[in-house]
Amino acid sequence: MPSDFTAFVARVSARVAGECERRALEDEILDHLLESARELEAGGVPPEEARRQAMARFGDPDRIGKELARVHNRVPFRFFALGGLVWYALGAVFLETGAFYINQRWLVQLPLQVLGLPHWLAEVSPQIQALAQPLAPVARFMSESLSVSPWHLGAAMSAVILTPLAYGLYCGAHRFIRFIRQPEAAQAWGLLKLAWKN
Amino acid sequence: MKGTAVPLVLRVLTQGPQHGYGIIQAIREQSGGVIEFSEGTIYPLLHALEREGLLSSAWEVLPSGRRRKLYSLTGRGAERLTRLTADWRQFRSAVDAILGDGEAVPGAV
Repeated sequence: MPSDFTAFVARVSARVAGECERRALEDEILDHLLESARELEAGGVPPEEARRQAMARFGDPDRIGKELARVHNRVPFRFFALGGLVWYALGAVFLETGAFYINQRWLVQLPLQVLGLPHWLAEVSPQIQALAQPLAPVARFMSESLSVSPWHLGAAMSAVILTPLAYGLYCGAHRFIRFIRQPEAAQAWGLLKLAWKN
Repeated sequence: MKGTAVPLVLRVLTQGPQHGYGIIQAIREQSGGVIEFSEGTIYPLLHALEREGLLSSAWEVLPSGRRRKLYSLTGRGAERLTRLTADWRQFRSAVDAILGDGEAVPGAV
């Protein structure tokens, strides 16, 4: 493979996050360049010149790389919206009055009663409260100095901190699924299964 | 150009799965060479459309051992194409209504 193409596709993919995604992108762009050069050569352009023209036609690799990175590295808005809501609800449960204890009011009790579940949550709450005790003064201080209720502050903080964390997990899982669904990985998987059967 | 590229890409893919280079060529040929992309710009567009669920992609392994990414239109993509085509028709007839049917431009007073 011509090394000028290798350097070119590496520049296109440089800003995209994730080894798998980068490799797929590089293969795609490389296929484009090879196809383009092949057709130019078929039209009578000498090989060296055909490769140069193929890259020129493709355009600025850094600019296109930036645009691709914008598409690939973007966190879907719906994820933040959903994550924020989920964490806000969790924050509501866990962060009443700045201590991380489980609130037994309607937020927990109502779903439990609707589902007819035992109040096991109520029994766990003192332990959780004890664990979270050192954080309570910090939370109280922050909520007083910002004059925001600790309930809202806790929910907002967990939304800010935990949503990206959860997104990281989500991306990892997604990438893993993509990885095992690749043809090479599927072949390896097939071989494993074959070996297992024999 | 950015806005009109989407329906063109979707339309080309109604003719069957195609790779990025093939899409560019199809648009160039079917427009009689009038519409020409800076080739690389098709990829951010294709990837964005795929993320939106308007396209799906699959890898084809070529005889040379390299792999090629083929895009095809999804149901949602077809719906979007219908809508964008209608939007374009409306826009075109609105512009035509203002520009008239090509008679000589009256001279300045």
